[in-house]
Amino acid sequence: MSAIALNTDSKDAKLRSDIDRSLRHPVMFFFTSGALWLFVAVILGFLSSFKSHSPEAFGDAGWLTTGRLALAHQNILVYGWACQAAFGAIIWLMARLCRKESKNSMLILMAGHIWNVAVSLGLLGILLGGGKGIAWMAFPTYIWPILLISYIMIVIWSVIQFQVRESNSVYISQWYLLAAIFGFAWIFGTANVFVFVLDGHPLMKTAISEWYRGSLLFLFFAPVAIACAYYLAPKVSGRPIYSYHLALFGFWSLMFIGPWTGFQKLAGAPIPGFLPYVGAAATILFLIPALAVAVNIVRTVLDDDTGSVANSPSLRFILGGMVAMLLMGVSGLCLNTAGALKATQFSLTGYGYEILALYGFFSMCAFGIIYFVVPRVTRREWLSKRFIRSHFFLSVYGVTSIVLFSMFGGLMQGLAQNAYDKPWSDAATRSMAYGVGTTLAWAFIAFANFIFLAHLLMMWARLGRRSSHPTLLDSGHHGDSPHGPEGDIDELQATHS
Amino acid sequence: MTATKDTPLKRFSAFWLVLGLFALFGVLAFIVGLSSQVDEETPADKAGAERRLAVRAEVDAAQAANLSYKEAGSSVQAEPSQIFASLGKRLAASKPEAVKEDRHRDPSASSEETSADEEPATESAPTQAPATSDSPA
Repeated sequence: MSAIALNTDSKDAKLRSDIDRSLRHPVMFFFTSGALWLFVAVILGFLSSFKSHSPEAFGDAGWLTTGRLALAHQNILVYGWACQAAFGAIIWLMARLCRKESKNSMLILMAGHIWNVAVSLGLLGILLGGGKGIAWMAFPTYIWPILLISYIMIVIWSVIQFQVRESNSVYISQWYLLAAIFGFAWIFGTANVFVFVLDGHPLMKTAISEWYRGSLLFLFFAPVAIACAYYLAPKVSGRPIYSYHLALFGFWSLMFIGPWTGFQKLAGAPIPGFLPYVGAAATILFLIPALAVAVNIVRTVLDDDTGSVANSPSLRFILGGMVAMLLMGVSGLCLNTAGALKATQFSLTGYGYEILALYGFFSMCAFGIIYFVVPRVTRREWLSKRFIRSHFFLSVYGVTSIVLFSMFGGLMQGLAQNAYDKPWSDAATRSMAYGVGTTLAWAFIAFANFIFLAHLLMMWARLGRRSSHPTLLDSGHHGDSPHGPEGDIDELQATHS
Repeated sequence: MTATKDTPLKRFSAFWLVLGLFALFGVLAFIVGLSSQVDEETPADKAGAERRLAVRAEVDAAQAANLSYKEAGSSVQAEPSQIFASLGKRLAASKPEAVKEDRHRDPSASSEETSADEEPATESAPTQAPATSDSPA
């Protein structure tokens, strides 16, 4: 009986290893190029924030103006980093959950290169003045079809893997991954067709671009982040998910609420009156799925007495992401009431909310899955727990500062804008100190991501530790471990085979 | 022996199914977009357009009248486009002169200083005037 179990375990380990090997190049390509773009986006964020309070700094070249830098920063953060991190997570998680090796790694890799070329051209277009001036849709018009085609070439194989999987059961992470895969295609395609292809009123195009931002956040980035959390929480803690019904409720409530967000940015504009109210209500209601997911994940890992939360880098980042998701829900509740919208509609507050969502929530979950996946696909362990710890704490300090400065600075800015008996320059004066704080916070994040990028590049160059012992945060690299014996990973495999 | 679901036929059909679903999003967007486009002009649009066009015609006529060729005594008003070339040549030929007086550097500041410097008596004048008028004839 035990021999049969051992044989099954061995087969299972070999299958996992084969899946990891089949996806090694595309996954590492997406994670590493994503991290490189993240570093570029953070530097652009630093420069745009600096120029917003010191416009004369770094000269007056056209490509260094705040408008171009801010748009380049946002778009590179979304398409350079966040999308590529999401692609890496989607293809690896789906293959592992379907227990299918990838048979199209070269095609995925080629599509990844096309995506990166398109993002590079888009960045150049924005900086040289050819951008469209729409947040998250600022690349020159010819870029979006290239992005859409390469996206389809990247993710279509994951859906095929799901279709041909042997097991009839569907994991919670798979629900979210499928929702994200179809969500992106629907939202990206529809928004670009309406904004760039069909004729329409410019005001409705503005409304559609705001819907695009909200929907992409809630129907693509949020589902991928939640899928990572639902995969890692039981995997690392060794416990089943706390409540299946709660997971089901969280999923369907997010799918119901997600498509309605974004229109609140146009409160007061001459668009159909119900749209801003629906958008504001949907953003407020995000707190419901956020609570359902966070409670489920936290209850899953909380009762674990093996110290996995304290030790595991992946779980630490995931819990950071869960806290940010809850803060997103609470800040959405506070910022989308009628009074708050009037005060913050044309201020920095919206930017703070986006950074909380993209960096605080999505990116922290993406870092969690990257710290879990990379050792498996490279067959090397992370070099330094100090690097991981520095990355975590600098990211947390940085993103917390940016969110606080942007939200409170935006509130002050909005209140000054609404004080009609005072000069308009008061709005800039009041928010200036917060702008300086945001610049400093981006410097923290730049440092954190430089560490992360260097660490990741070393792992891709296979300079990681040749050990089967994972790099844990609160214990030494050597000694007894619940994760297996210490030793050279290749020698251990040779012994077992 | 259990039958596997992973067959080339199943993969092929899944590929086209997913591609079809993705294409459907685009087709639906086009259908909704094209069907919701309003080509007919509403009466309100038409009335608004007529009013705007009337204002535009009035402004254009007034501008053309003001810019046309006119003779007023010894001076002549010509269209700007006709005199740009000769005016430009004259300006290009003239040499820049160094600014010598402060009021040329900062006209707003110099006007206050000039009035204060040149007319010191204005403040004292009213105080002296009543005394003159009150004096016995």
